[in-house]
Amino acid sequence: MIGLSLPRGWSVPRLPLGAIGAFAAGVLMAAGAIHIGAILLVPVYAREDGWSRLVPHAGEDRFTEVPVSAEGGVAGLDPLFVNAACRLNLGEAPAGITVDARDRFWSVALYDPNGAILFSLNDRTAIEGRLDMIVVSPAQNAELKRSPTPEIELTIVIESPSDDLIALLRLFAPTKTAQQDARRIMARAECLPAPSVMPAQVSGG
Amino acid sequence: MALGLWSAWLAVRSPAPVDTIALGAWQAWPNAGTSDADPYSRARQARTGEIPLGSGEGLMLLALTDDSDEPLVAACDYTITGQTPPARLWTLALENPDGHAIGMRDGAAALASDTLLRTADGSFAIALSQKPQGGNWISTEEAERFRVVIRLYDTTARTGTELTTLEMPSITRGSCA
Repeated sequence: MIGLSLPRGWSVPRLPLGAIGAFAAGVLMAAGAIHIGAILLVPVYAREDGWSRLVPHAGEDRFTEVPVSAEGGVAGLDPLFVNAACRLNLGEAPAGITVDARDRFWSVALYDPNGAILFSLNDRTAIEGRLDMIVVSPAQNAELKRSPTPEIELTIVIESPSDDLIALLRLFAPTKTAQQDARRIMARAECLPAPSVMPAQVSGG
Repeated sequence: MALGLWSAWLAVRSPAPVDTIALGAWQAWPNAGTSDADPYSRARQARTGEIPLGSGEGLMLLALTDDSDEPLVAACDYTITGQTPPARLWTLALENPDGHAIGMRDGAAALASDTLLRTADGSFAIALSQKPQGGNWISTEEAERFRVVIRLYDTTARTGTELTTLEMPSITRGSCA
């Protein structure tokens, strides 16, 4: 215990110091436990995290634009970009993402429900401005590795521990014209279940 | 109880002091959104609602103050001068204190590196002011208080060894109304 050894000759009332010390230590330990608990629980209970903000704007089976303006827009996105989100569900089939944009900077990131980024790339990684990506669950990936289909050859395959993901596509669009182009690219970009990449099911299996 | 909650709040308030790299007035959270993020960073991110850039995309740097630690207010003029770390593209945007992009009459209060006017040595000066300025200018008329965000895209600046040696522009205050 800290603070209990006092210089000789000091006369101290017997009870309070020990009791106060024990009380203070108890308070600190309780505070520490609550501190750690609070830190760990914040992500669980946060309603305003990045994922929850993206969900209302994420398209099903297609990319839809995420607004960035101050009124009703999503905070933390670059206003000089057209940002588009698509929600992936790997429960039934792998998800395929295709983007074709040659004339500008663009990037794609996959977020899991904790807001962590599973994978990200920019247009430099894409071959001639074209991205072909398949997102698979661990089980689907195992199956694909056993019997690869020809479709998978030229495709980036990403394995995701989570079945639920959001893909965020960011297209650099600093001018009104560039924004219109970016919205065309967004509308053409694909984000769909891709059951065809899986090997054909053996009958009865 | 109060002590524990208060210290937890201190650690995850926006922008949080944990897991940060500070370069002058600029702060960066290079581990945000990665699997390396510690519980504090995860809690901070959940609180701020930030949508981080992936390591394959870029790095965000945030300035809440000028170089002399004074908050950024629209009543004052500022000049942002110097260089940015190497990146294929970067943007500089003004946000209000809760992270929403600030608008101007003809678009966002933001500039991109591809249209920036530079001096011969590659450095630049950007004026932040309510009144129109020559050269690179961003209007602050829509903001009372604001913060400045630089996003570096396709940059080598994310690798740990380079982060501490990054060269970021300075933010100097001019005259105040």
